[in-house]
Amino acid sequence: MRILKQSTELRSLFQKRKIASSKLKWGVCTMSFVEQELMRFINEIIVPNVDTYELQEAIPLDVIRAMGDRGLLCPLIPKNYGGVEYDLQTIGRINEKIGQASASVRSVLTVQGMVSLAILKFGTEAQKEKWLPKLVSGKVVGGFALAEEEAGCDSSNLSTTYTEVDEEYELVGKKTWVTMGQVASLFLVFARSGEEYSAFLVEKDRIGLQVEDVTGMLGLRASMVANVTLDNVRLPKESLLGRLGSALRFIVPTCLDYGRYTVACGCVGLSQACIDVCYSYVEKRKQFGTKLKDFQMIQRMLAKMVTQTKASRLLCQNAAKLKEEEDFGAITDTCVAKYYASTSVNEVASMAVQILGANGCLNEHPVERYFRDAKLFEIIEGSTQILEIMIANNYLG
Amino acid sequence: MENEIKEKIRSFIIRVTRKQEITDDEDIFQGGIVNSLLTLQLILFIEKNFDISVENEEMDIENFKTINRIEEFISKKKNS
Ligand SMILES: Cc1cc2nc3c(=O)[nH]c(=O)nc-3n(C[C@H](O)[C@H](O)[C@H](O)COP(=O)(O)OP(=O)(O)OC[C@H]3O[C@@H](n4cnc5c(N)ncnc54)[C@H](O)[C@@H]3O)c2cc1C
Repeated sequence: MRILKQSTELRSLFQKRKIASSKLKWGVCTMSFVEQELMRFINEIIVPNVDTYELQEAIPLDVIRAMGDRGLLCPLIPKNYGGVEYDLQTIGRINEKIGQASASVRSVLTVQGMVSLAILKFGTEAQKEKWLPKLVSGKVVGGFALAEEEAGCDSSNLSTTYTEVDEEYELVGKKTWVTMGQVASLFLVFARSGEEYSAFLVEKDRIGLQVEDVTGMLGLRASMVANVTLDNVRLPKESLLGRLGSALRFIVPTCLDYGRYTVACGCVGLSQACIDVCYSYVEKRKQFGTKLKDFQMIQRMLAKMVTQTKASRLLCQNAAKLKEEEDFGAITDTCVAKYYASTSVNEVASMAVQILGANGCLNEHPVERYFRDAKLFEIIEGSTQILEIMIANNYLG
Repeated sequence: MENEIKEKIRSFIIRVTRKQEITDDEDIFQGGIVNSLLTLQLILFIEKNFDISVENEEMDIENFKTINRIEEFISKKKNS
């Protein structure tokens, strides 16, 4: 892992930028204490440093821990394990607001949430007591290690294996694209033994585990992606999470359902960020002696951006409502929310670049980052095509 | 009672999987991606409609593979 400093040199570089990162607002509704705390954290810690994170392709561990201190990392976890147990609408707003400031920082919320949820739902009491408080506080960063070189959308094609040796499990294989993998100290690793797929909690310091940083990503540059090699990693029996054979049918779908919801909410935040930049730009920029905001073709783009963003937000709220009602339709509707929000944020970000013209193509303006980050949302937590298959075949009428 | 449970489950599975019909001992999890959401949907449906809670140690696909197995699982939980 690269040592990260928010160096004064870098900070002053970014302070010279033409468009300073502007403060985010919660929205029109009255802010609760939770919301006020969240907005203070975002505006004081994240917003001023987003460009530094991008350039260094990393987020400081202090920032992750600061999110833990505020209960933002694993907001679903009950109080008896140190969590805050927020409802899903609040979790959605947290993801939207942090995602509006930085899609990379927000990605921590998805993985940490998925790993902690898996332990909460499928773990033994000892596993919950050991890991949940540390995941909640950010003392331990989790990595969700499912994907492999030959197992992307097709998670059943894993080649990482586990065998039972001398009353222990032995894992062999290589995991790819593990978000936060560079700083994770606990990996939720999925492996197979023949046609049986199981999940294991693997500490970073196990002998045979190696982490290799992945840099140069198109978007989500600061999400500290890594590949993880498991070279005959030995694990005690207590490392098994859930039942043997329960990974693909129970654990993975449970995690991905949470992942999809939080990513969808993150897409809403990114769309809102595009809108905010555009509204301030069209107010100032003049061509042909007229402000951009007065051109009807610009207004059409703004109208589409606003409408698509509102539609995405409503789909996320609908998914949260169904989940809270324990309606089985929630599962498909979460796919619908993620599908719509991730495809539409790509259109919204593209219109944002269009509205800013050449300025939108330069990394001195945040829309350049928004445009790059948006694309990755169509790939993670169920690619657009996989979601299309799922939605088409699970339509409940 | 047994038949009532089975019919409830059958109409749920037909609705979710969009199959025309399904027999009592047919594996409902055939079909890869299409069915990858089914387990979560099924558990939510069972918990809500039969007022039971599926525990961690019961998360075994063998309990949910066919309408017969699901009915046995629900009846056993109800009687315990
Ligand atoms: C920034 C980032 C972070 C990530 N973080 C994690 C992480 O933390 N943990 C983790 O396990 N993984 C992670 N991933 C991996 C991610 O889950 C995979 O990239 C994703 O599942 C898609 O797999 P793939 O990239 O191998 O694409 P492939 O599976 O090779 O698919 C390539 C293309 O083919 C399409 N396609 C595939 N199958 C079908 C089909 N049946 N019908 C139609 N089209 C199809 C896909 O939609 C896609 O467009 C991350 C990826 C990225 C980019």
